[in-house]
Amino acid sequence: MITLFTAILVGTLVGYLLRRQERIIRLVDLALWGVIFLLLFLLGFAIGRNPQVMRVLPELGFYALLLALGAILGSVLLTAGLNRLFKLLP
Amino acid sequence: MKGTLLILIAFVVGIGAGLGVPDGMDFDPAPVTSMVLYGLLFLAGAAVGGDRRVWQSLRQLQPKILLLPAGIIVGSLLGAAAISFLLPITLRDAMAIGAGMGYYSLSSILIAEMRGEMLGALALLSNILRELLTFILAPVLVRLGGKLGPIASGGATVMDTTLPVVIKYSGKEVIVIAFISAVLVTMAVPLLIALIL
Repeated sequence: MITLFTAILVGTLVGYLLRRQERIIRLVDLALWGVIFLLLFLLGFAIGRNPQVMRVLPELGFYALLLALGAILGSVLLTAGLNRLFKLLP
Repeated sequence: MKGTLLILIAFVVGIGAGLGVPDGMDFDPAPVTSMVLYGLLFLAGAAVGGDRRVWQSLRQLQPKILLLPAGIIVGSLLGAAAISFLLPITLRDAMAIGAGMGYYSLSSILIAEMRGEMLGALALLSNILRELLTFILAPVLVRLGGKLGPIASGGATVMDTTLPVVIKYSGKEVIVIAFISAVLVTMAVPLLIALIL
């Protein structure tokens, strides 16, 4: 947990210090994409090798839809309520 | 949108590769993944920190605007938690998936690392759907929740992919607020997941 937090915080600080070095920042974005690609490929790989997950994949899709709708509805309604109370918009 | 498609392709090609590998040949990518994870978080932080728009818009921040990302986070967690009662999923797991707030790449990788590939797959699908639904439902969301509707629904994705749709349906005057909120939501994603799981 603390290592995780430190990694993000140090990253943000380094990004901030380098924010005017456009070439480096572009490299950071590229590297981020590369790592995400690699890790999602590996996640797919692990799923493909796991028959238990493959068998329930269609069900997972349906669960995913419900969870997404729940999260969307919760956040939209709560922020609408907060906006009515505190006038968040100018 | 192009990015989402490319990521899905990487994921699907990974599934294909996993299916295609013969049973005798065992290769466990888990140790690779955990080592790269901190690198990923570092880079995610650096990408946000190196984005000059982030610091420019933070300078214009009014304290009460913090209620927007707070509402998005709490609302997402509560909404996903409510759904957990309809599905064979624990409250904790549902909340971790809701905490992804559309940031599907990072959330699914973290959740897979902590809870295995089943929940990782669910987190990936659910948070991609959150992005897609924000695109599709934006006009409905404006009617349901006003101008903040698409911003809340888009969550972390309002920093990049869904920003155009937010501008179209919520108006140009909300850009700065929407962007700040999405930055804060994005930074909160990995922390929330680590706290919940």
